[in-house]
Amino acid sequence: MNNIWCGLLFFCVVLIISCDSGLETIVNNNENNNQPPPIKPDYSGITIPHNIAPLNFFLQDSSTAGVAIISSVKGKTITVRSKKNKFYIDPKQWKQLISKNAGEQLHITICSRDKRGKWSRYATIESCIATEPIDRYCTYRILNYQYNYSRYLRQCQRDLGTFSEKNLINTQNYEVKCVNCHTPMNNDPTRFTLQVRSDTYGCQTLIADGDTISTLSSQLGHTSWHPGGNCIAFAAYKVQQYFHSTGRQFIDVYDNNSGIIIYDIAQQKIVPVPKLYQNDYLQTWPSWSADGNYLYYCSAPIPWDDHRKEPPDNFNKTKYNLMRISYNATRNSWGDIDTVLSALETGLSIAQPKISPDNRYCLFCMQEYGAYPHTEITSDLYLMDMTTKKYQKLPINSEYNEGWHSWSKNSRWILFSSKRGGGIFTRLYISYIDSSGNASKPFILPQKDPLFYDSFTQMYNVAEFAVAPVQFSERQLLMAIQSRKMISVPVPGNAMLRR
Amino acid sequence: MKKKPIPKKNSQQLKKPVEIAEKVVLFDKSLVRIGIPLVFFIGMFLFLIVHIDPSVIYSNNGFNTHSYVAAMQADSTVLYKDPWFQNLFILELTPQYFQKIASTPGGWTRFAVACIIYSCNKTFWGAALITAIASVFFMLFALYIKKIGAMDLYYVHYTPIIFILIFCSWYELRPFAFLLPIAGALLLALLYHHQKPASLSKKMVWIVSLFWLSWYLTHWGCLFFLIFVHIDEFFSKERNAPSAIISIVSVGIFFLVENLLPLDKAMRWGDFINHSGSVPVMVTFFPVAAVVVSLMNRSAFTNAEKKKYTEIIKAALLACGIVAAGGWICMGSVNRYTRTIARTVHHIIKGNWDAILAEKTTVLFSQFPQKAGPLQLFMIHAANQALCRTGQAGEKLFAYPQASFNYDPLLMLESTLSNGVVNWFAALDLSMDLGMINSAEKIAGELMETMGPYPEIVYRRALIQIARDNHEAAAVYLNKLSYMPFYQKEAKRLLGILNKKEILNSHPRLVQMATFRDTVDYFLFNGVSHDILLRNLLQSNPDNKLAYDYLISYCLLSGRLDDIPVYVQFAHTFGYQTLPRYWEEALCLINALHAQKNSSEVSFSGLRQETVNRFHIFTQSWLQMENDPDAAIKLAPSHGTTLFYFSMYRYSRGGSR
Repeated sequence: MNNIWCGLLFFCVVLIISCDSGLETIVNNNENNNQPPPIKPDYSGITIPHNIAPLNFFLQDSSTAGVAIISSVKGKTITVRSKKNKFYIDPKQWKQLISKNAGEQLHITICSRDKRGKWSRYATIESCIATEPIDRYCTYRILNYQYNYSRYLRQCQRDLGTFSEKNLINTQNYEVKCVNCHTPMNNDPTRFTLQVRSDTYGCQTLIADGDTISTLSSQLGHTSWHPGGNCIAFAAYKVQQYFHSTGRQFIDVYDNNSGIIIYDIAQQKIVPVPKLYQNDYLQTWPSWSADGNYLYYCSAPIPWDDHRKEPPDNFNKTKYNLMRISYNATRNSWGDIDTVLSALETGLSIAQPKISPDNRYCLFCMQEYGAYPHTEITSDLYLMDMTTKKYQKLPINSEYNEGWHSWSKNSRWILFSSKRGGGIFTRLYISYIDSSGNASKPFILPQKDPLFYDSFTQMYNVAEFAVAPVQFSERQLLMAIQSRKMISVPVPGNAMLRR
Repeated sequence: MKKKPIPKKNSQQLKKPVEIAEKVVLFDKSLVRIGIPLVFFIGMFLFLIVHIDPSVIYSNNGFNTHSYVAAMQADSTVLYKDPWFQNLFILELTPQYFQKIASTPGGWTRFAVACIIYSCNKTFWGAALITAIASVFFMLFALYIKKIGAMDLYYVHYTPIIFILIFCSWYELRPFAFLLPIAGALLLALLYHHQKPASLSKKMVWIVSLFWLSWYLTHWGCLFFLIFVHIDEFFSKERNAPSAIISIVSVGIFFLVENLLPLDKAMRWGDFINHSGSVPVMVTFFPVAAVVVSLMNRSAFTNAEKKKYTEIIKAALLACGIVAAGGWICMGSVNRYTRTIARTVHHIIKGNWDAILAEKTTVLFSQFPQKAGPLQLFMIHAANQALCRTGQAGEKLFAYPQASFNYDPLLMLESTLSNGVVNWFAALDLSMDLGMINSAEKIAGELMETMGPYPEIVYRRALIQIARDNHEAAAVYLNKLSYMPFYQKEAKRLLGILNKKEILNSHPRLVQMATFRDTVDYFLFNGVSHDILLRNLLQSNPDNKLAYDYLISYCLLSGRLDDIPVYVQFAHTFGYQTLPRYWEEALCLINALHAQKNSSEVSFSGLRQETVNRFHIFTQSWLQMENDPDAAIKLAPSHGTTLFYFSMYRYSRGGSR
């Protein structure tokens, strides 16, 4: 009996060895076709963080089998055999390899077997593993390509080191019309705001502060936390949209009126700053500098007189400037306004400024007109050096919309939305920004199934990095939304918004 | 003591009636057990095929048509709710889909319901499957009633089947999501009864394992499993404390687990009451019926004579129940309207335009135009669409009901925003084929957001993107579609030819959409008059015959007769050898009105004599009744289908069909 077992064991060992030697034969004895491998998603020539989830990929050729060898300087080489041309990398091996090789090159060699059984090798993909890690988590909203109605939205949290995704809020589960703009303070989700629109419960805004969540019945918009954590800048606006009969991206969105308000967290009230709420100006997209000494925002003179006309005249000529106002947190006083970048100078409209946590760069969008990059096909990402005020269009842009960007805590990674690939489905991309402000080739947010995006008919937007997971469960957030204890803050200029 | 021998003759005399009685009883029982159900289920199958048509159920999957019709009938949009929006009844054959199904308590029940709905794509198979499920349900419930030793009130067993027939007649199979857990609970209760665990440990093992199996397969059905087990034990006089304690603990753990589950996997108790009152009635029927028949078993129905009458009463009750339910299903006004609307939705999706024109709508329009709500608007829109698409609008427009509405019944763009998803679907197909591609994309987007990614919508969105030359976006929709039953082949075919323009051009619908695509920029849904919108389409492509027919129909219906002479000049370019009836009637009317204005003699030159005669006869009849308040009603039989009548009274009840 023992002999039988020994024989079986020997057979297995021989089989394993023969398989391995087969693999060696495949890698060493094949024809090098010197072609770049046609992989999907495109992960060639990118810079990746050393704590990212495996970059599973799909080989777009007619091969019947494939092998990928993933290696770097240190650690064990990873071998992946394809399953129907899909290469699923073992997460443990991947983690070990890339975490040991921060700052080194990553090589991916792919061999494929054609229908005649002949193996060939593609040119090796070279990528760089950055020394700086990426924030472990990110939050985003998933929704359909929408027009007037919104019924199915999810605010999600993704662990970037794995493929784990968790719902923070799913509007299907209760009567909430819309969720948007989850904004953590300094990438730390122990303090965050979340915009919720629920007619049933009357909740409009949640402000999480440690273990407690405050529920506001006042409708507030784009958000930025003061880095000191004592106040939050919100944009309040009356947004409207129109649809063109022609054109691929046919939604036009504009603010009929807008202004910026400051919410004092301790006192639970709005602090009036008249300079940020002016009748003749549209002011939106507040963003605090990392030191908290300036509030950046976008401002445009209103180019129409008749507020009742829909859409108003010249709404498509609105061009926003990048402005800032100084703020003294100790005295809680506001200083002068100055123009950082004028639309006159650029010829374009500026939106969504975001200051890097090291206070060195400002990443913003520019487009032909308006304040909403997601509906303006000309929207591209620009980077401004805050010390020299020089700005450049980043090479990561596409022919379609780019926007909704976020900085990682270490200011080395950006996460942004792009409609590349048809101009409809917004996907999230990650890019590395080096110390000189150069952006690396972006790569799409990795998914377990490399063909995930091919049939995913929903979109991602309002992405934000976070260094830790949100502490509250979906049920706790629901309880906060349904809370009867609501704070009502009168938004100055509401009368103007109703105009 | 010696027993007196029974005289032979007497014993023979006694034997005979007993044998006869036994035979009668045997005959009766076999008749009851096999004959009646057999006839009933054959009848049900035929009823499903002939009256219901399961393929209409499939087409209406996701529309909640009955709820919509009931709400519109009650003039209350508040009543119209679709609590089903969780995309749970859309089949998508991907590993992720099955992963979600397998990891959700009750997921397999929902999958089974989706499979039943999809089987309805083919009329025969749909009817066969529904009948088969109904018969299994019938047997399970009958067996359960028998096992608990309750009175054999066999008509009670038919009640669940009546439930099934009712929601089939509403073209809505999603309530199976409430019936299947009950069926599962009954099955497991029967299994438990069969095992009859005696010891406490065995009892605990059986109850706990069946409870959680039921929880995994049917979710809340596990609670009914316990209810059925305890009804059984109560009436079998096997009541004991341990099994009650085990059940209470299980229920406690159930609620604890519910609180730990992610919200999209946890129970939504509101679903029981959100759909309609029928769901709670249906769900509570089973335990209540089981208790009632068990209680009746204890009453004094023992007398043979009474039994005989009881059998007759039961049979009579069953017959009356079936007739009443059948009558209500067929004749109830909401049910009848539901049938008309559901069938029309089906015909629109399938492009059966002649079937729409042949649909009998007399009941729906019985109080027309006094009662002209969204349902009438929808049917008028559908009929107009069928007429314009088949090139018959000029000849038959007023042979169908027409009236002035708040919303335009021709293009029905504005009403898509307020009057239910059935309108959206009808307007979507029309917008696509007229060439209003961006309108179509917007409507499809709203529809998908409201209903979920149903394959019919995903397919249309893919076509729209192809027509907009956005093949990358189209590929995403087609890839999704390639995992959906009935669309897999077409999706893969389109994916294969996406970059081959010459082959794509062989797809008639795509060619039409791409050729007639709107090129004039204006704001949609922003109060643009529909004649401008149609003129823009003709400006984009002067060969757009559908837009041309719609434009003239719009002029006829909106009373813009003065524009008609300008448009009819181009009739020959669209293949009209002679002017259709109503266009000529319009010209006739314009000539008469102009002559009246200019005090000149009316000239009808160029018009067919029969048209002029119709005008004269109408004018004479109308003049005779000028001051008669009932003139419209009196003139309707002879002139109701003329443009003259419509122009005078602003409505037409159409011809009798």
